[in-house]
Amino acid sequence: MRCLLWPMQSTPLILLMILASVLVGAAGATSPLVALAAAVLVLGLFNGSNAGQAVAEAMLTLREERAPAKPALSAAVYRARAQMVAFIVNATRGSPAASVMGVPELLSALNDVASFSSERITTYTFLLIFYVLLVAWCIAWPTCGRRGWPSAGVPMLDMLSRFLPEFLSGLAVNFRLPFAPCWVACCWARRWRPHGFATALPRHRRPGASRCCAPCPRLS
Amino acid sequence: MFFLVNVVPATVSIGHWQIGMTPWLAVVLSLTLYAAAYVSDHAVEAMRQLRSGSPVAAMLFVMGLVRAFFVMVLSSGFGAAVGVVEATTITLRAIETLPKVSDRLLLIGLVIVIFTVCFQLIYHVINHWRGKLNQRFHRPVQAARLEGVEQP
Repeated sequence: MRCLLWPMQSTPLILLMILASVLVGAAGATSPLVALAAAVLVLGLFNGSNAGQAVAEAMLTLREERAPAKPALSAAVYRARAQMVAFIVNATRGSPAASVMGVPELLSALNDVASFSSERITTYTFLLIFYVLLVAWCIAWPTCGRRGWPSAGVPMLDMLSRFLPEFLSGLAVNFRLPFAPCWVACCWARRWRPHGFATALPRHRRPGASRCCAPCPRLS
Repeated sequence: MFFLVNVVPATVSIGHWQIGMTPWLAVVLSLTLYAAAYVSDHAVEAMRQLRSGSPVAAMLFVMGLVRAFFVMVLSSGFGAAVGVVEATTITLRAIETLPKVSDRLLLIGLVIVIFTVCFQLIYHVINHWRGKLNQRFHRPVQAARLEGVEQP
């Protein structure tokens, strides 16, 4: 197992992709679907080996702390949650590397478009927004509603409705980007959040509010 | 990285400073964002564990930093896409010149062995130090805890 774990943790992702493409090519399978499957496998092994090792280390510390008892795997995963999320993000942002193997992928396709298009700024800003949203969704999807994880207790639609207009209007104002989506988002943000984004938060999470909505029996 | 190289102007002025947006700087800045997010998330988690009385779990922060360093170094290979020359770029150029598949596989295998030996050596040295620190600071605490459990 370590023979697979160590090289996967220590080799650049691009090189692993090249290795997979050479092997796939040598096997005679050249369809985009096979390349996609190989890319998913390589990305999964690269990030999974690191995240798995983080969970294993967390399990060792749990065994040390709760010496006679046998800790559950879920407790180790919970302890290593920061690294799990970090490697989910790393896998998402590493997905453009699959284009090395000939997988049809958005970044490489838009790079080709941008090479002969005059709208370079728009193209790359669109790409930046797309990948930021993709990473935000990849963090929010597995962790929403799980206690102790990032974005726990925040419904996803509520989180996106707060994040998206703020991000787009910030882009529009700071970079003076003259394209429609930013302005639409600005207008939408002003219309639906007239008292600022704090109103989108649950009552007990608003700034200045106490932790409990009802009078706390212990305090009273 | 692509955004910084293609959208940000070639020279950015901050006060009196003139900064040229080179491919190297773009790679460094794009990796910095990820590293900052990773380290801050992990530091918060370590502090939380330390406050809850688990120094062993807080020490996992060190191994997290080592892993962040690995990811940073290995991700710098993406710089090949914007013309940064480093180990991955040179390997890719050498692979292109080789005609046979067996030669290519041999070269990739050798590079993987070199990377693996270097990184795993670093990892195991630091993990050994972490184990020593754990023994020094945690074992007395654990022994006291176990004695406290046994006495009543």
